[in-house]
Amino acid sequence: MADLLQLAGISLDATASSREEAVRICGELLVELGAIDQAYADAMWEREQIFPSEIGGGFAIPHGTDESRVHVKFDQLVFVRFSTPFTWSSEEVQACVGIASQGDGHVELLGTLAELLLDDDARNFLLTSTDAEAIRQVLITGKMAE
Amino acid sequence: MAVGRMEMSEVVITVEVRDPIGFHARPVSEVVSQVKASGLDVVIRRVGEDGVVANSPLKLLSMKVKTGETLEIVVPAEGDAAEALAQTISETINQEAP
Repeated sequence: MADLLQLAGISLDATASSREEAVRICGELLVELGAIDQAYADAMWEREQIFPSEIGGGFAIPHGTDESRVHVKFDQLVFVRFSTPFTWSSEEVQACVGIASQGDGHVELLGTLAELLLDDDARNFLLTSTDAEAIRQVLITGKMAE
Repeated sequence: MAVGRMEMSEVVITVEVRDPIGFHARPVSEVVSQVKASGLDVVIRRVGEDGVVANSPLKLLSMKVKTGETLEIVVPAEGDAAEALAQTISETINQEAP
């Protein structure tokens, strides 16, 4: 099974000026990685319109609907950071963690993301580091490198 | 689900998380909206722990609450409105549970 978050699933200088563009970028990346069919990507935007996915700390976590889970081939996350922050639905967002999940495989990592975002140093690292592998390690382990 | 008053000025409700993926992002976000709308520093905690003020999705998500865990919802007020708020929050936590 592929890692939940791969190096190829990290994009550090994406360009978007609306959450629709941002969600589409997350969906395209998940399709490229082979984790989902386009139908799930479409459902991510459908879900987003019903329920904006910003979680605070400059992050949003777009994901599909329950019905669209059949279009997930394997659980996968993508990390997409935007060169310029923009207003999501009510808050400013600078990065997304796009979620493709058939079950609860992603929940632990999201909890870890939340812990990291409550820590100023870790949050700053995720928003500014240009080292994708270091970002991947921090997200997976929940710990900043010594 | 038990309703009780720990002391004069707060309402505490106990709720078991039945959602198959725990207390996750969507219910968390709705609970935060409810708490913010109330203007009260509602606390959500595991029994015996300090817990967090439930006005931040990040703080609630960082608790990593799993299916089957028991949470306490503490509303720092008394009366019917406080009890109704605690009840609403406990239902929201399990709104996607089968």
